[in-house]
Amino acid sequence: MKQTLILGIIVVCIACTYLYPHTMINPGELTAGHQHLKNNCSACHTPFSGISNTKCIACHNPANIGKDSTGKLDSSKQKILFHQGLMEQSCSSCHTDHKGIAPTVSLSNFNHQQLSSAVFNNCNSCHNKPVDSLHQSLSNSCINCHNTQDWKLNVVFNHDMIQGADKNNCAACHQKPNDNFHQSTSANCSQCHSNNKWLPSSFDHSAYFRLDANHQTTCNTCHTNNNYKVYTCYSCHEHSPSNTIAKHNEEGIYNISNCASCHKSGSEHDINRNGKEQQNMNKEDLKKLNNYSKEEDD
Amino acid sequence: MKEPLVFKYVLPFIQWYALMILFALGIDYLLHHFNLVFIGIYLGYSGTTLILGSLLYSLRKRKIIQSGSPKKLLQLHEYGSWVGAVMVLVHAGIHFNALLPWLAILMLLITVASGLIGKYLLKKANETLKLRRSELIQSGLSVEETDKELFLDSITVDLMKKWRIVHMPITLLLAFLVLMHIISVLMFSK
Repeated sequence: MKQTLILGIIVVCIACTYLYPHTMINPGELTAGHQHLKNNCSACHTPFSGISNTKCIACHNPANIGKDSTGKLDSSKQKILFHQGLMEQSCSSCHTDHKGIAPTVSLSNFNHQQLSSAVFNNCNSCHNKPVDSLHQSLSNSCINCHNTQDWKLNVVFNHDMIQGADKNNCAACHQKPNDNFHQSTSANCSQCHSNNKWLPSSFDHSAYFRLDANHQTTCNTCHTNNNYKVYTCYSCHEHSPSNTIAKHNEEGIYNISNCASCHKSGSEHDINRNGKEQQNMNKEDLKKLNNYSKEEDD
Repeated sequence: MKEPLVFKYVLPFIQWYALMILFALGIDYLLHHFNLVFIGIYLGYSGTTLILGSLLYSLRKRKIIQSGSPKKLLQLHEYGSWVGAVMVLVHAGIHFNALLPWLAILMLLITVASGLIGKYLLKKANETLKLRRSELIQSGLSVEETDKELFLDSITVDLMKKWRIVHMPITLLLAFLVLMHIISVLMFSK
Protein backbone atom coordinates (compact mmCIF):
# COMPACT_ATOMS: atom_id res chain seq x y z
CA MET A 1 0.00 0.00 0.00
CA LYS A 2 2.74 2.40 1.06
CA GLN A 3 4.85 1.56 -2.02
CA THR A 4 1.84 2.07 -4.29
CA LEU A 5 1.17 5.48 -2.78
CA ILE A 6 4.79 6.62 -3.25
CA LEU A 7 4.85 5.26 -6.78
CA GLY A 8 1.58 7.05 -7.51
CA ILE A 9 2.94 10.37 -6.25
CA ILE A 10 6.08 9.95 -8.36
CA VAL A 11 4.04 9.20 -11.49
CA VAL A 12 1.79 12.22 -10.84
CA CYS A 13 4.83 14.46 -10.39
CA ILE A 14 6.40 13.29 -13.65
CA ALA A 15 3.10 13.67 -15.53
CA CYS A 16 2.51 17.17 -14.16
CA THR A 17 6.07 18.23 -15.02
CA TYR A 18 5.61 16.96 -18.55
CA LEU A 19 2.17 18.52 -19.06
CA TYR A 20 2.62 21.74 -17.07
CA PRO A 21 6.32 22.59 -17.07
CA HIS A 22 5.58 26.28 -16.51
CA THR A 23 3.94 25.51 -13.17
CA MET A 24 6.28 22.76 -12.12
CA ILE A 25 9.81 23.85 -13.07
CA ASN A 26 9.68 27.41 -14.42
CA PRO A 27 12.36 29.33 -12.45
CA GLY A 28 10.65 32.71 -13.04
CA GLU A 29 8.07 34.50 -15.11
CA LEU A 30 8.75 34.87 -18.83
CA THR A 31 8.85 38.29 -20.45
CA ALA A 32 5.60 39.65 -21.85
CA GLY A 33 6.68 38.83 -25.39
CA HIS A 34 7.37 35.20 -24.50
CA GLN A 35 4.19 34.53 -22.54
CA HIS A 36 2.74 32.39 -25.34
CA LEU A 37 5.70 29.99 -24.89
CA LYS A 38 4.88 29.28 -21.24
CA ASN A 39 4.43 25.54 -21.63
CA ASN A 40 6.63 25.06 -24.64
CA CYS A 41 10.15 24.98 -23.16
CA SER A 42 11.61 23.42 -26.29
CA ALA A 43 10.68 26.53 -28.28
CA CYS A 44 13.86 28.08 -26.84
CA HIS A 45 15.67 25.29 -24.96
CA THR A 46 17.36 22.29 -26.45
CA PRO A 47 17.56 19.75 -23.59
CA PHE A 48 21.08 19.54 -22.11
CA SER A 49 22.41 21.86 -24.86
CA GLY A 50 21.30 25.31 -23.79
CA ILE A 51 19.69 27.87 -26.07
CA SER A 52 20.85 28.00 -29.65
CA ASN A 53 20.80 31.21 -31.70
CA THR A 54 18.87 29.37 -34.40
CA LYS A 55 15.80 29.20 -32.20
CA CYS A 56 15.97 32.91 -31.32
CA ILE A 57 16.57 33.93 -34.93
CA ALA A 58 13.58 31.87 -36.03
CA CYS A 59 11.46 34.66 -34.53
CA HIS A 60 13.87 37.59 -34.13
CA ASN A 61 15.56 38.69 -37.34
CA PRO A 62 18.87 40.35 -36.31
CA ALA A 63 18.59 42.88 -39.11
CA ASN A 64 15.27 44.09 -37.74
CA ILE A 65 15.94 43.99 -33.98
CA GLY A 66 15.28 47.41 -32.54
CA LYS A 67 13.38 48.75 -35.52
CA ASP A 68 9.93 48.35 -34.06
CA SER A 69 10.50 48.01 -30.35
CA THR A 70 12.73 50.80 -29.08
CA GLY A 71 11.32 53.88 -30.75
CA LYS A 72 14.79 55.44 -30.57
CA LEU A 73 15.87 54.49 -34.05
CA ASP A 74 17.36 57.16 -36.17
CA SER A 75 16.92 55.52 -39.55
CA SER A 76 19.49 57.75 -41.21
CA LYS A 77 22.26 56.65 -38.83
CA GLN A 78 21.12 53.06 -38.24
CA LYS A 79 22.17 53.60 -34.64
CA ILE A 80 20.94 50.53 -32.85
CA LEU A 81 20.90 47.98 -35.61
CA PHE A 82 24.18 46.53 -34.46
CA HIS A 83 22.69 43.07 -33.88
CA GLN A 84 23.33 42.16 -37.49
CA GLY A 85 27.04 42.42 -36.68
CA LEU A 86 26.71 40.00 -33.78
CA MET A 87 25.85 36.83 -35.64
CA GLU A 88 28.75 34.95 -34.07
CA GLN A 89 27.74 35.69 -30.49
CA SER A 90 25.22 33.82 -28.41
CA CYS A 91 21.96 35.74 -27.90
CA SER A 92 21.76 34.46 -24.34
CA SER A 93 25.11 36.00 -23.45
CA CYS A 94 23.26 39.34 -23.27
CA HIS A 95 19.59 38.43 -23.13
CA THR A 96 17.97 36.20 -20.61
CA ASP A 97 14.47 35.42 -19.48
CA HIS A 98 12.51 34.05 -16.53
CA LYS A 99 13.20 37.22 -14.57
CA GLY A 100 9.84 38.90 -14.84
CA ILE A 101 7.37 40.22 -17.38
CA ALA A 102 9.17 43.55 -17.93
CA PRO A 103 11.75 42.94 -20.68
CA THR A 104 14.25 45.42 -19.27
CA VAL A 105 14.62 43.36 -16.12
CA SER A 106 15.56 40.36 -18.21
CA LEU A 107 18.69 41.90 -19.70
CA SER A 108 21.86 40.57 -18.17
CA ASN A 109 24.93 42.81 -18.12
CA PHE A 110 25.82 43.71 -21.65
CA ASN A 111 29.30 42.65 -22.56
CA HIS A 112 30.66 45.43 -24.74
CA GLN A 113 33.64 43.29 -25.71
CA GLN A 114 31.37 41.44 -28.09
CA LEU A 115 30.94 44.49 -30.28
CA SER A 116 32.99 45.10 -33.37
CA SER A 117 35.81 47.61 -32.81
CA ALA A 118 34.05 50.20 -34.98
CA VAL A 119 30.95 50.09 -32.77
CA PHE A 120 32.89 49.59 -29.56
CA ASN A 121 34.99 52.71 -30.09
CA ASN A 122 32.05 54.91 -30.94
CA CYS A 123 29.74 54.95 -27.94
CA ASN A 124 27.37 57.28 -29.76
CA SER A 125 26.57 54.57 -32.27
CA CYS A 126 24.27 53.14 -29.56
CA HIS A 127 24.10 55.70 -26.74
CA ASN A 128 22.82 59.23 -27.07
CA LYS A 129 25.15 61.88 -25.78
CA PRO A 130 23.75 63.38 -22.54
CA VAL A 131 22.09 66.71 -23.18
CA ASP A 132 23.43 68.56 -20.15
CA SER A 133 25.77 71.49 -20.70
CA LEU A 134 28.78 69.66 -19.29
CA HIS A 135 28.59 66.77 -21.74
CA GLN A 136 27.75 69.05 -24.62
CA SER A 137 30.98 70.98 -24.04
CA LEU A 138 33.09 67.81 -24.10
CA SER A 139 34.43 65.67 -26.88
CA ASN A 140 32.90 62.28 -27.76
CA SER A 141 35.67 60.37 -26.02
CA CYS A 142 33.34 58.96 -23.37
CA ILE A 143 35.93 56.38 -22.37
CA ASN A 144 38.10 59.11 -20.85
CA CYS A 145 35.65 59.28 -17.96
CA HIS A 146 33.34 56.28 -18.23
CA ASN A 147 33.93 52.61 -18.68
CA THR A 148 31.79 49.78 -19.97
CA GLN A 149 31.27 48.19 -16.56
CA ASP A 150 29.10 50.93 -15.18
CA TRP A 151 28.12 54.33 -16.50
CA LYS A 152 28.17 56.16 -13.17
CA LEU A 153 30.04 54.27 -10.48
CA ASN A 154 33.46 54.39 -12.05
CA VAL A 155 33.44 57.93 -13.31
CA VAL A 156 36.82 59.62 -13.04
CA PHE A 157 36.43 62.95 -14.76
CA ASN A 158 39.36 63.96 -16.86
CA HIS A 159 39.50 67.76 -16.74
CA ASP A 160 41.95 67.77 -19.62
CA MET A 161 38.99 67.05 -21.89
CA ILE A 162 37.59 70.51 -21.29
CA GLN A 163 38.21 72.75 -24.23
CA GLY A 164 38.53 76.54 -24.49
CA ALA A 165 37.82 79.21 -21.92
CA ASP A 166 36.00 76.93 -19.46
CA LYS A 167 39.18 74.97 -18.82
CA ASN A 168 40.24 77.39 -16.04
CA ASN A 169 36.78 78.52 -15.07
CA CYS A 170 35.69 76.03 -12.41
CA ALA A 171 32.47 77.94 -11.79
CA ALA A 172 31.32 77.07 -15.31
CA CYS A 173 30.55 73.58 -14.00
CA HIS A 174 30.94 73.67 -10.21
CA GLN A 175 28.89 75.78 -7.83
CA LYS A 176 30.81 77.81 -5.34
CA PRO A 177 30.62 76.12 -1.92
CA ASN A 178 28.00 77.75 0.25
CA ASP A 179 30.12 78.14 3.37
CA ASN A 180 31.26 81.53 4.61
CA PHE A 181 34.86 80.96 3.81
CA HIS A 182 34.35 80.20 0.14
CA GLN A 183 31.68 82.86 -0.27
CA SER A 184 34.07 85.53 1.00
CA THR A 185 36.89 84.73 -1.37
CA SER A 186 37.13 85.47 -5.04
CA ALA A 187 40.42 83.69 -5.55
CA ASN A 188 40.73 81.12 -8.28
CA CYS A 189 39.86 77.63 -7.03
CA SER A 190 43.09 76.24 -8.41
CA GLN A 191 45.05 78.21 -5.81
CA CYS A 192 43.90 75.72 -3.21
CA HIS A 193 42.32 72.81 -5.08
CA SER A 194 43.56 70.52 -7.82
CA ASN A 195 41.75 68.78 -10.67
CA ASN A 196 42.46 65.38 -9.17
CA LYS A 197 40.76 65.83 -5.83
CA TRP A 198 38.65 68.50 -4.18
CA LEU A 199 39.80 67.39 -0.75
CA PRO A 200 42.25 67.84 0.73
CA SER A 201 42.81 71.34 -0.56
CA SER A 202 46.30 72.73 -0.79
CA PHE A 203 45.36 75.75 1.37
CA ASP A 204 47.95 76.00 4.14
CA HIS A 205 46.83 78.14 7.05
CA SER A 206 50.33 77.83 8.50
CA ALA A 207 51.63 80.00 5.69
CA TYR A 208 49.77 82.85 7.43
CA PHE A 209 49.44 81.64 11.00
CA ARG A 210 50.10 78.28 12.59
CA LEU A 211 47.06 76.79 14.33
CA ASP A 212 48.91 75.12 17.17
CA ALA A 213 47.38 73.35 20.17
CA ASN A 214 46.46 76.69 21.78
CA HIS A 215 44.67 77.93 18.69
CA GLN A 216 42.28 75.12 17.88
CA THR A 217 39.08 77.11 17.62
CA THR A 218 36.33 77.98 15.20
CA CYS A 219 37.14 80.19 12.21
CA ASN A 220 34.90 83.04 13.37
CA THR A 221 36.77 83.42 16.66
CA CYS A 222 39.52 85.21 14.75
CA HIS A 223 37.76 85.98 11.45
CA THR A 224 34.74 87.80 12.83
CA ASN A 225 31.75 88.77 10.66
CA ASN A 226 32.60 85.95 8.22
CA ASN A 227 35.32 88.07 6.71
CA TYR A 228 38.39 85.94 6.11
CA LYS A 229 40.43 88.77 4.73
CA VAL A 230 40.90 90.26 8.20
CA TYR A 231 41.40 88.77 11.61
CA THR A 232 41.69 89.75 15.26
CA CYS A 233 43.51 88.08 18.12
CA TYR A 234 41.41 89.92 20.74
CA SER A 235 38.28 87.78 20.54
CA CYS A 236 39.49 85.38 23.18
CA HIS A 237 40.16 85.93 26.85
CA GLU A 238 43.84 85.14 26.57
CA HIS A 239 44.69 88.25 24.60
CA SER A 240 43.51 91.73 25.51
CA PRO A 241 44.62 95.00 23.89
CA SER A 242 45.61 96.57 27.23
CA ASN A 243 47.96 93.75 28.18
CA THR A 244 49.36 93.54 24.69
CA ILE A 245 50.01 97.29 24.52
CA ALA A 246 51.68 97.23 27.93
CA LYS A 247 54.01 94.42 26.91
CA HIS A 248 54.84 95.75 23.46
CA ASN A 249 55.32 99.44 24.30
CA GLU A 250 58.32 98.47 26.42
CA GLU A 251 59.88 97.08 23.24
CA GLY A 252 58.95 100.18 21.26
CA ILE A 253 56.25 98.38 19.31
CA TYR A 254 53.02 100.26 18.89
CA ASN A 255 51.24 98.34 16.15
CA ILE A 256 49.40 95.52 17.86
CA SER A 257 46.76 94.93 15.20
CA ASN A 258 48.73 92.52 13.00
CA CYS A 259 49.99 89.99 15.53
CA ALA A 260 50.64 87.27 12.95
CA SER A 261 53.29 89.35 11.20
CA CYS A 262 55.59 88.72 14.17
CA HIS A 263 53.95 85.74 15.93
CA LYS A 264 53.26 83.58 12.88
CA SER A 265 54.02 80.37 14.76
CA GLY A 266 51.36 81.13 17.39
CA SER A 267 53.94 81.30 20.16
CA GLU A 268 54.64 84.55 22.02
CA HIS A 269 58.27 83.51 22.40
CA ASP A 270 58.82 82.73 18.72
CA ILE A 271 58.98 86.21 17.26
CA ASN A 272 59.64 87.22 13.70
CA ARG A 273 61.25 90.64 14.27
CA ASN A 274 61.33 91.52 10.58
CA GLY A 275 57.74 92.70 10.76
CA LYS A 276 58.39 95.15 13.59
CA GLU A 277 59.37 98.27 11.68
CA GLN A 278 56.85 97.73 8.90
CA GLN A 279 53.95 97.35 11.24
CA ASN A 280 54.47 100.41 13.39
CA MET A 281 51.12 101.96 13.85
CA ASN A 282 50.28 105.50 12.93
CA LYS A 283 49.20 107.84 15.75
CA GLU A 284 45.53 107.79 14.83
CA ASP A 285 45.37 103.98 15.05
CA LEU A 286 47.25 104.02 18.33
CA LYS A 287 44.75 106.50 19.77
CA LYS A 288 41.86 104.25 18.71
CA LEU A 289 43.44 101.26 20.33
CA ASN A 290 44.18 103.14 23.56
CA ASN A 291 40.53 104.24 23.73
CA TYR A 292 39.44 100.63 23.12
CA SER A 293 41.79 99.50 25.84
CA LYS A 294 40.37 102.04 28.36
CA GLU A 295 36.78 101.00 27.58
CA GLU A 296 37.70 97.39 28.18
CA ASP A 297 39.40 98.20 31.50
CA ASP A 298 36.32 100.16 32.64
CA MET B 1 5.10 17.31 40.13
CA LYS B 2 7.43 16.14 37.37
CA GLU B 3 7.63 18.24 34.19
CA PRO B 4 5.49 16.70 31.36
CA LEU B 5 7.41 15.22 28.42
CA VAL B 6 5.84 17.68 26.03
CA PHE B 7 7.61 20.55 27.84
CA LYS B 8 10.78 18.61 28.62
CA TYR B 9 11.52 17.38 25.09
CA VAL B 10 8.99 18.59 22.50
CA LEU B 11 9.31 22.31 23.12
CA PRO B 12 13.14 22.29 23.04
CA PHE B 13 12.87 20.30 19.82
CA ILE B 14 10.60 22.97 18.30
CA GLN B 15 13.10 25.63 19.35
CA TRP B 16 15.92 23.69 17.66
CA TYR B 17 13.84 23.28 14.51
CA ALA B 18 12.95 26.98 14.51
CA LEU B 19 16.65 27.77 14.89
CA MET B 20 17.31 25.96 11.61
CA ILE B 21 14.77 28.16 9.83
CA LEU B 22 16.03 31.33 11.51
CA PHE B 23 19.61 30.47 10.53
CA ALA B 24 18.52 30.01 6.93
CA LEU B 25 16.60 33.31 6.93
CA GLY B 26 19.54 35.13 8.54
CA ILE B 27 22.09 33.81 6.05
CA ASP B 28 19.72 34.57 3.16
CA TYR B 29 19.31 38.14 4.45
CA LEU B 30 23.09 38.62 4.75
CA LEU B 31 23.70 37.27 1.23
CA HIS B 32 21.17 39.75 -0.16
CA HIS B 33 22.51 42.57 1.99
CA PHE B 34 26.10 42.09 0.80
CA ASN B 35 25.07 41.35 -2.79
CA LEU B 36 26.39 37.79 -2.56
CA VAL B 37 23.23 36.05 -3.72
CA PHE B 38 25.21 33.94 -6.22
CA ILE B 39 26.63 31.97 -3.26
CA GLY B 40 23.11 30.54 -2.80
CA ILE B 41 23.57 28.41 -5.92
CA TYR B 42 26.71 26.79 -4.49
CA LEU B 43 24.99 26.25 -1.13
CA GLY B 44 22.54 24.03 -3.04
CA TYR B 45 25.41 21.83 -4.21
CA SER B 46 27.19 21.72 -0.86
CA GLY B 47 23.98 21.22 1.15
CA THR B 48 22.87 18.31 -1.03
CA THR B 49 26.36 16.76 -0.83
CA LEU B 50 26.36 17.09 2.95
CA ILE B 51 22.93 15.46 3.27
CA LEU B 52 23.97 12.65 0.91
CA GLY B 53 27.15 12.15 2.96
CA SER B 54 25.13 11.96 6.16
CA LEU B 55 23.18 9.03 4.65
CA LEU B 56 26.24 6.84 5.27
CA TYR B 57 24.60 6.16 8.62
CA SER B 58 21.55 4.64 6.90
CA LEU B 59 23.83 2.44 4.79
CA ARG B 60 25.76 1.34 7.89
CA LYS B 61 22.55 0.68 9.80
CA ARG B 62 21.26 -1.56 7.03
CA LYS B 63 24.67 -3.25 6.79
CA ILE B 64 25.11 -2.17 3.17
CA ILE B 65 28.51 -0.86 4.29
CA GLN B 66 30.47 -2.57 7.08
CA SER B 67 33.02 0.04 8.13
CA GLY B 68 32.57 3.11 10.30
CA SER B 69 31.48 3.65 13.87
CA PRO B 70 27.66 3.65 13.98
CA LYS B 71 27.70 6.23 16.79
CA LYS B 72 29.90 8.64 14.82
CA LEU B 73 27.92 8.04 11.65
CA LEU B 74 24.72 8.79 13.57
CA GLN B 75 26.22 12.07 14.74
CA LEU B 76 27.23 12.81 11.16
CA HIS B 77 23.66 12.03 10.08
CA GLU B 78 22.14 14.32 12.70
CA TYR B 79 24.43 17.30 12.36
CA GLY B 80 25.30 16.89 8.67
CA SER B 81 21.68 16.76 7.59
CA TRP B 82 20.79 19.71 9.84
CA VAL B 83 23.56 21.90 8.42
CA GLY B 84 22.83 20.61 4.91
CA ALA B 85 19.16 21.49 5.38
CA VAL B 86 20.10 25.05 6.39
CA MET B 87 22.22 25.36 3.22
CA VAL B 88 19.45 24.02 1.00
CA LEU B 89 16.91 26.36 2.61
CA VAL B 90 19.20 29.32 1.84
CA HIS B 91 19.61 27.96 -1.69
CA ALA B 92 15.82 27.90 -2.09
CA GLY B 93 15.40 31.41 -0.72
CA ILE B 94 11.98 32.96 -0.44
CA HIS B 95 10.94 32.71 -4.07
CA PHE B 96 7.66 31.27 -5.22
CA ASN B 97 8.17 30.33 -8.85
CA ALA B 98 8.18 26.62 -9.66
CA LEU B 99 6.11 24.12 -7.72
CA LEU B 100 8.51 21.18 -7.92
CA PRO B 101 11.42 22.72 -5.99
CA TRP B 102 8.97 23.94 -3.39
CA LEU B 103 7.56 20.46 -2.96
CA ALA B 104 11.15 19.33 -2.45
CA ILE B 105 11.64 21.98 0.25
CA LEU B 106 8.41 20.91 1.93
CA MET B 107 9.61 17.31 1.93
CA LEU B 108 12.95 18.43 3.33
CA LEU B 109 11.26 20.24 6.22
CA ILE B 110 9.06 17.24 7.01
CA THR B 111 12.02 14.86 6.74
CA VAL B 112 14.13 16.95 9.11
CA ALA B 113 11.24 17.25 11.56
CA SER B 114 10.51 13.53 11.53
CA GLY B 115 14.20 12.73 11.81
CA LEU B 116 14.57 15.00 14.82
CA ILE B 117 11.55 13.46 16.50
CA GLY B 118 12.74 9.93 15.83
CA LYS B 119 16.30 10.06 16.93
CA TYR B 120 16.62 13.18 19.01
CA LEU B 121 13.45 12.98 21.08
CA LEU B 122 11.93 9.52 21.02
CA LYS B 123 14.76 7.68 22.75
CA LYS B 124 15.00 10.13 25.63
CA ALA B 125 11.23 10.40 25.97
CA ASN B 126 10.84 6.60 26.03
CA GLU B 127 13.52 6.27 28.70
CA THR B 128 11.92 8.98 30.82
CA LEU B 129 8.46 7.38 30.50
CA LYS B 130 9.78 3.97 31.61
CA LEU B 131 11.62 5.52 34.54
CA ARG B 132 8.55 7.41 35.70
CA ARG B 133 6.36 4.31 35.34
CA SER B 134 8.68 2.22 37.52
CA GLU B 135 8.95 5.06 40.07
CA LEU B 136 5.17 5.36 40.34
CA ILE B 137 4.66 1.60 40.68
CA GLN B 138 7.39 1.43 43.32
CA SER B 139 5.68 4.23 45.21
CA GLY B 140 2.62 2.00 45.60
CA LEU B 141 0.38 3.06 42.71
CA SER B 142 -1.49 0.38 40.79
CA VAL B 143 -0.87 -0.17 37.07
CA GLU B 144 -4.19 1.49 36.21
CA GLU B 145 -3.42 4.51 38.40
CA THR B 146 0.05 4.73 36.86
CA ASP B 147 -1.41 4.65 33.35
CA LYS B 148 -3.86 7.39 34.32
CA GLU B 149 -1.07 9.47 35.80
CA LEU B 150 1.10 9.07 32.69
CA PHE B 151 -1.71 9.46 30.16
CA LEU B 152 -0.42 12.67 28.52
CA ASP B 153 3.17 11.40 28.40
CA SER B 154 2.05 8.11 26.82
CA ILE B 155 0.11 9.98 24.12
CA THR B 156 3.21 12.12 23.40
CA VAL B 157 5.46 9.09 23.06
CA ASP B 158 2.93 7.24 20.88
CA LEU B 159 2.80 10.21 18.52
CA MET B 160 6.60 10.32 18.38
CA LYS B 161 6.73 6.62 17.55
CA LYS B 162 5.02 7.34 14.27
CA TRP B 163 8.15 9.17 13.01
CA ARG B 164 9.41 6.11 11.15
CA ILE B 165 6.14 5.87 9.18
CA VAL B 166 6.76 9.38 7.89
CA HIS B 167 10.55 9.60 7.79
CA MET B 168 11.43 6.97 5.18
CA PRO B 169 8.69 7.57 2.57
CA ILE B 170 9.12 11.35 2.79
CA THR B 171 12.90 10.94 2.45
CA LEU B 172 12.28 8.86 -0.65
CA LEU B 173 9.96 11.52 -2.10
CA LEU B 174 12.51 14.17 -1.21
CA ALA B 175 15.21 12.27 -3.09
CA PHE B 176 12.92 11.93 -6.10
CA LEU B 177 11.97 15.63 -6.15
CA VAL B 178 15.60 16.71 -5.73
CA LEU B 179 16.52 14.44 -8.62
CA MET B 180 13.76 15.98 -10.74
CA HIS B 181 14.97 19.46 -9.82
CA ILE B 182 18.58 18.64 -10.72
CA ILE B 183 17.58 17.00 -14.00
CA SER B 184 15.37 19.93 -15.00
CA VAL B 185 18.19 22.38 -14.19
CA LEU B 186 20.66 20.34 -16.25
CA MET B 187 18.16 20.09 -19.09
CA PHE B 188 17.18 23.72 -19.32
CA SER B 189 20.03 25.79 -17.94
CA LYS B 190 22.47 27.33 -20.37
